[in-house]
Amino acid sequence: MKLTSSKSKRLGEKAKGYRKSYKKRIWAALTVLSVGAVWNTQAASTATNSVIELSLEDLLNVKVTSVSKKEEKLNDAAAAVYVLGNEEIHKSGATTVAEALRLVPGLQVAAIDANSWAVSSRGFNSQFANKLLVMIDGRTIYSPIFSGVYWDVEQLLLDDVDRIEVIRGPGATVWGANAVNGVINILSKSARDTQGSLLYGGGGNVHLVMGGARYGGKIGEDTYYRMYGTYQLNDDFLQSNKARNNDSWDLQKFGFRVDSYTKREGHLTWQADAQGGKLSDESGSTFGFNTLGRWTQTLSERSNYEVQAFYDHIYRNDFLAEVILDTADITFQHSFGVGEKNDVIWGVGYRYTDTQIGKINNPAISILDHNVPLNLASMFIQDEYKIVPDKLFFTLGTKVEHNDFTGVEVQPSGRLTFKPAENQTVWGSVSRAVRTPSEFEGRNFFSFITAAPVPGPSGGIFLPTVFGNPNVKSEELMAYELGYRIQPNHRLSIDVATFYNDYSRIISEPTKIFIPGFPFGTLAMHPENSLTAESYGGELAVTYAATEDWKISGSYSLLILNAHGNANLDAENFELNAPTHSVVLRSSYDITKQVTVNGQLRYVDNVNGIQAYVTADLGLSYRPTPNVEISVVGQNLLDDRHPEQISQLGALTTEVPRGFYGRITWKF
Amino acid sequence: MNPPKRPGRRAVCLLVLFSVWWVAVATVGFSAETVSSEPQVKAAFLINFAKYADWPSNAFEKANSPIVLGVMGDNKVSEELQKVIAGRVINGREIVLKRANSIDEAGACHILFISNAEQQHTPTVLDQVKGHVLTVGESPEFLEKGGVINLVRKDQKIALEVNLTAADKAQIKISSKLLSVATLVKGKAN
Repeated sequence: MKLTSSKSKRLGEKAKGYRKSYKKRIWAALTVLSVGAVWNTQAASTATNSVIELSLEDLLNVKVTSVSKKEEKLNDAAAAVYVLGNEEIHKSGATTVAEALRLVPGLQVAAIDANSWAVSSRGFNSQFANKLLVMIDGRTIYSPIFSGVYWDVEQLLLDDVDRIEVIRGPGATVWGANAVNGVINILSKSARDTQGSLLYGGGGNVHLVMGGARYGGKIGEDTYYRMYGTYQLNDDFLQSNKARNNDSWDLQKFGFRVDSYTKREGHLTWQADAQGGKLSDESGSTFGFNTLGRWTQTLSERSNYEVQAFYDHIYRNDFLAEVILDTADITFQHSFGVGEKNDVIWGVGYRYTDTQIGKINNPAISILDHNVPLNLASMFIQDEYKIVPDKLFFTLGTKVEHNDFTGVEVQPSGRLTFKPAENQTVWGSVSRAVRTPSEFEGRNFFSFITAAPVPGPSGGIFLPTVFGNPNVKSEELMAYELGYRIQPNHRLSIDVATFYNDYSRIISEPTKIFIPGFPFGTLAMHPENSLTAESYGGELAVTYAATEDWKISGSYSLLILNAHGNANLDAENFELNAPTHSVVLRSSYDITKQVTVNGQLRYVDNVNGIQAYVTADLGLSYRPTPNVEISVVGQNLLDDRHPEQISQLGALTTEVPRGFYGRITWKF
Repeated sequence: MNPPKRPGRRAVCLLVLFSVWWVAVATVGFSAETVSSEPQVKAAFLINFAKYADWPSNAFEKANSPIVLGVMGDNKVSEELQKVIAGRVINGREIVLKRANSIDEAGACHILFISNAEQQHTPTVLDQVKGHVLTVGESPEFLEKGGVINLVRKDQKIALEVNLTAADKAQIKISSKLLSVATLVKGKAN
């Protein structure tokens, strides 16, 4: 599943032409931003106590934040955490979850074509980015068949998303295997907070049609519900020769969520979604549904328990094969205080995943076993010890899992938090995390011809084919992190996180065996734990509310990755898939009470076969009344189109086009 | 071979400018102060109520006697008020902040904010406070217990509920402007 080196060379040469024009654009954009900073210096000094000066009508429209215990904890967390709030998502003009993730500092998000994305944190980005765990409301959407995420089926109603929490670095002690380089947790609002109706509709040249509706109501005194539906139709991307890529796709999603609160601090959630869509003009369709229930009971200020169960069914018929994936999962967790100084959290879980392969749509694939069940049992325990209350904390924990391929996996972590002052946090951590092999790598049920036939050493023609290897072990990471957070005042926050990651047993296919045959022989390749790598770098994120009306934020990420091993091409690909520098700058300005302008500028350094690029999004929204919003958004504005990531499946590279859309949202 | 990976001059320029921008922004940021937290918005409402309520003349000793704004319970709202109240004049009267720790002190206020922290005592306070007191609360049953204005959280905003019977009882006229943005709730007359 790799691109041949000659192809990436061609792409690299083609991309060189972009360089000059980018340079000019970077300068222009940065000049504008610098001027903005100077102007901001003057604006900020006049804005004090402005909430107090607001009129009655304005006060009724001010949004208030009351920092909950959980959010406070997040700010003190001994991990590189970023929370993308509902308003940030809304203002970004994102129409899909993947687009929204482009805003998160330190995440690498690249569109491969119209319906697939490569999303990763701290490197190893590819279509099959396998070191990042992604969950929606506690339900994992990480697919064990290929160790990645089908981003195209997650067409959420973004207005009902409360926040997206992103942890860069290992989160395995609590979340479990495959939370190696990061965890993305998408959390929807409680039905209590989405009462009333919402309608939106719009369209443009890239996102051709978008629409959605939600209705939220009350069943009893403390029981709330909402129902929603969304639809989005997206056009083809173009290939570099301007040919249409025939990858237009659509998706419709429906669902509901019920939240019931008891008088005694219990909270029951039940939710379900179903989705269906066309994957692209030629390659098939997808259908799926899921349902999840969760009961949370607060017992005291320091104690609560939670029981959660979900079932998820996905059918996907794409250009490779017809795959049916069923997942059932149940977890229990409990937290409590021991004495004054210790807070313990522990949990157990069990997951059953059944993968069935139906018909094969690609002659490159042959199936040895059509039904692949997988059992995963896990438990974790973690203790937070207050060495000096409110100042110094030590957290020690571990997760122990058992899975069918690799047996027992132990993933411990130790974290130290020091708060020199209320508004400052210094933290450090050491953790171990593993990435279990995908079913494709770890079981011999599947073989895949990855490239064009090659001549053998003593004549004959051989097809390079990857087979699964039941003896392959989990990839392993030891991560060392150090971070610092400061909020000099309520307007400004600065977050710096640095890391050193030491990877071993990375899976690649180093050994090639020529098996003669007619008309073609087979060049057999088996996944082996053959590579090691180390990476280091960091992320800086700054958010600043310059005035009540103007908020700006920026982030810079540095990532350097060196991989070693016999399979040189793989090692090199890993190194090349890490953009050394990336920058995101964002600004949101309320010109008047009715009009807001949002802009963002992104710079992504060279990745495998793709030259560095800068692009920008700009959105204008107008609210004639508080319940109606009309917005116009331009995405990827700085060029006609640009490539972001090469396909791992050997498909032609497609380019992300400049897009515009308009949208009307009505709440009542 | 793949194209060599090098940050290049472009990236360096970008970084330098990026740093300069942030230094500029951060320098300003360190000197700035406020944000709209829930106590701050509630404090702003309380000051606004002084503008939109009319007390009978016998509620004041003299024509220029101050409007007394009392807080029972919550320190955060009174901290916010403390920061901004000094020197504020509304309808020709100065507005002063007082802590109300007893029924007597509460009765001497023109506006009395009873925070959630005092929820247990709310019925007693509302029953016993005599005089022209505009009582403001933040708990679900505040108006049913005889309060005049309730600050309720709706989604992420603060909304107003008014109990006109209780306002009449206290002989306080609430301006139509305030009533037009509030929800009228029938509650117990104090």
